[in-house]
Amino acid sequence: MPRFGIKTQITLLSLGLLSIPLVSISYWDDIQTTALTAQTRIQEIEAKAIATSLLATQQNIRELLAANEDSELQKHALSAPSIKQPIRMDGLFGDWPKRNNPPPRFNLDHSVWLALPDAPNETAFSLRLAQTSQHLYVAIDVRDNKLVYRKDSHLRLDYNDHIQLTYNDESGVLRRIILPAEQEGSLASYYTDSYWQYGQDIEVSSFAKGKNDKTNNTVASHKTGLQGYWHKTSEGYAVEFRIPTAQLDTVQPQIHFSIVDIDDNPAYGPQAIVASLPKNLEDKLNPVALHARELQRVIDQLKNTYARLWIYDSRGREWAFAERHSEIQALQDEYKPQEESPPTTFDSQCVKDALLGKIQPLQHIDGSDGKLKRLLVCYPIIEAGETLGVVVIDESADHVLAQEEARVSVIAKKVGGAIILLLFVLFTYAFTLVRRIAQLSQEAEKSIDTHGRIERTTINASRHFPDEIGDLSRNISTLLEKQHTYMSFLERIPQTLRHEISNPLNKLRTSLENLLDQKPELTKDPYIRKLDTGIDQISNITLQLTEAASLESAIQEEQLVKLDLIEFLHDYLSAWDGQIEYAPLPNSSLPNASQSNASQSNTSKSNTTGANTPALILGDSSRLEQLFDKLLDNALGFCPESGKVEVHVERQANRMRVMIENDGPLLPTRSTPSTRSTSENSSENTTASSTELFSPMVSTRSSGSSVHLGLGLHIAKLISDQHQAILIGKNRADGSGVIFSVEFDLI
Amino acid sequence: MSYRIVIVEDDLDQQQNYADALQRKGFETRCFSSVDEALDGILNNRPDLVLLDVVLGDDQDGGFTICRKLLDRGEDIPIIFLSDRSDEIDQVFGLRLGAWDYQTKPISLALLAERIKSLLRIHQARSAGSSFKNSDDNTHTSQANDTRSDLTIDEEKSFAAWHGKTLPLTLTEFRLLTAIMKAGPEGIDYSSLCESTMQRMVTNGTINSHIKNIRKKFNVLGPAFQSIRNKPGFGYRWEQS
Repeated sequence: MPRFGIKTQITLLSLGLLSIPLVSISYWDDIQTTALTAQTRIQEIEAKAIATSLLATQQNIRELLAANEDSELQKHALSAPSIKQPIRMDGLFGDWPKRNNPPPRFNLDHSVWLALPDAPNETAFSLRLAQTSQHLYVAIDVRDNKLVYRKDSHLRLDYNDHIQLTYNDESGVLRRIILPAEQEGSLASYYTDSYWQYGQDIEVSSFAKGKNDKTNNTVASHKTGLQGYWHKTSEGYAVEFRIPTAQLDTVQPQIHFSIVDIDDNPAYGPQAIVASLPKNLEDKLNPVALHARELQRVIDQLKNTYARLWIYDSRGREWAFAERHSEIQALQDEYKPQEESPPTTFDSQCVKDALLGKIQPLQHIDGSDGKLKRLLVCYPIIEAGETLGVVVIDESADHVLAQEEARVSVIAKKVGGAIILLLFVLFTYAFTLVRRIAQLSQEAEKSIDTHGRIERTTINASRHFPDEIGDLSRNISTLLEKQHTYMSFLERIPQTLRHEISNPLNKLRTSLENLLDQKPELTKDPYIRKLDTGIDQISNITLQLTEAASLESAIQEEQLVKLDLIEFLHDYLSAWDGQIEYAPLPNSSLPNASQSNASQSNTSKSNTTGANTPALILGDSSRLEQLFDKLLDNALGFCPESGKVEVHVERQANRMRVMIENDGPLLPTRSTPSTRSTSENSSENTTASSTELFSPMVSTRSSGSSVHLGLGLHIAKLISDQHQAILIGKNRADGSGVIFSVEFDLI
Repeated sequence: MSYRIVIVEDDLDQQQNYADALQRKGFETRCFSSVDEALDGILNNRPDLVLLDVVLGDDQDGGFTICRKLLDRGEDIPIIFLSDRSDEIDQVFGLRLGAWDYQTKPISLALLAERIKSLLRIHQARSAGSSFKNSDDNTHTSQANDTRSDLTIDEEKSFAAWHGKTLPLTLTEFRLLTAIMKAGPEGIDYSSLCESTMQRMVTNGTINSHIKNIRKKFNVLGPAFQSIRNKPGFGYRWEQS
């Protein structure tokens, strides 16, 4: 199973946090739909609030919305759509907003005077109006096949082609302005009287600032406040001018235009007069849907909230308009910078439904690409069951989505930042935990040496942390302390046993000696001999216990020296001639007493690598002697009489292995055979557990009547560890016996 | 004249066994089982040799206490520790206190008697020049000194010196050194070495431990000592440096 560390686990889990923004993105469509629905609802509530507010606060709402005007005159009302940008006064109409319908055109149907009624006359004009919050813009395109300009010598203003403009000023006073055709360029305009002949100064009443006294000021005839341009065209001429809305009556704005065509001698009078009202209404003025200031103030407060707001009367005239400031619009539309469609609100079904009194009508207008482009909400202004007008709130769907996207983006950035911060904190915490656990693991590992002995009982890592790892550290320390106490007890057992046995044993020994000394005839008594043998066996046991108990501390003080292992084995094995068989040693230059015998028994497994060169190790000859004594004693002790003990020596490049084989009973099948390495023979199932096999006071094989305390292999293990050698006990592959091998590192 | 041996042993059975065996060998014995009794007895009637158990009743170091107090008073009495405490540190401590020998239980009474005789002989030789008293036959013998290389050995006095400096060997170590040196390059096997210790239960490991101690004592006094060479599986040999 692959290893998954805590760092890896927390990393994988942390990556799961990234699914939060991913899941959020998958809900983007739902967020958009919800945003648009909410926006529509907000617009609906806002429109309703405006309508209600207008009814509650504007006592003259009927007047403001011209609900009482004459219906015949209202048919000739002039529309003055709102425009965003001012129009350049140059006599060219290219910068006027495009309308769905062509501008109204007035011809002989609207003539109020014809010099020759039966003669053909093509005098006509088209009229465009537009308004901003400051000005009413007027564009008049006049068809006149013969232009007559005003001459410098003429004082009169009506001896040339001209336009008569009539309106009610802000005080409700009727004003007349004549626009004579003077020359290409800036438009000339003059206040005039009812005869439309000469310029006439006018009296204007005003209130001084901070005073209630009314004062009258005289305004020169040429200071009409109009700015414009007179331009000759192929069909006649065009006039483009603007008049401040402050000069107009915004309660009942009315204006009237008459085109006076002069062709021949001015003294003969005009050839034709075409007006913006038919002859039967020549005493009237055209109503103009100028913004009512009271209404405008209401929606101006919301002009930065929505793309556009309108208040229409029941006849579709615009009485108030507000739109989002262009800079704010640009700022808010930065995500979707595109030109919005021109307002065509009044003709929409939404407005028509509202005017029919349908409450909460709303309509989403789909763009040409099928996507939702605009949110249009219309709410009727209803008083006493009569629909006086409608409040229209228009918003760009892209703008709403852009705002939503901006909000989501901000949220996403904050959530992303929080997630990154959280990931950082998690990773830091994970690394801290892993580092603490690693330190704890390292300390725990170092607290026990390679042989399982406890070297220290205190774990300092995380010892003072008040958490579970701290608990674990403290528990390990407690565990090590208990284990150390127990191990110390176990280690003292041989010594304790030896001490406790020695005195009674000495009592037995000395008593027996005294008895035999007093009664020599008992020397041959079999029971006395058995008693003597038994005492010797117990004495031998205590001796082994003493040896085992003192060995561990003794070898720690011993200095290892360089010695030739081949030379040592040559001398050592020769002392065992007759008891064991061994193959020729790798270094053939040395004499070998049992070589011929070994050759005959065909047991040689020696590797001749490195022959004739000393096999140097760091060792202690007497300890090595003790080591091999134990292994050979063990082999001989377990070997049946019919069996044999064989010693093989294998030399490799940097290692030398001494194997001692016997035909005795097999070791219990366990794993982890080596005293230094558990991996070397882990594949072999015929190996005994080193922990058990080499532990003191443990014997894993039965050897009949012989006494086996298990101390021999324990001592061998200690000495092999002292020499950094690998001591392995395993069964032969064919199950015919046991092999103990000691592998030394050569220097 | 028989030698007076004081036996200090808290186990009365063992005490009696020691006394019986030594009395049969011609020694005069007196037994004590506590520190105070032993000190009084020894100081009031000075013995020729003292056998001391280390643990006396509840006093875990009672034998050591007696030894230290006797030697502090300048008493020149050979002392042999007979103890069940076989740790090397106990043996070293006892010998450093001034004891002549340290034997671990179980012991052989016959060999103990021989060891006592030997010590008395050595003590007498050291006290009265080259002559000494044999406890068995009360005859006097002498033995020439053996000097090889920088090593000087006086078997009568169980004295050895290395480069003119006295080697502080125990009696057992002295016997082993002498046996190995006498065997020469041919060497002496373990069983012979075990016999030379005059102890009943001796293993090859015990011999090796004694040899290590001998080498250490040599090396403390002078240059690296390498004359005692191991013959693996056989024993030791003397190699003239």
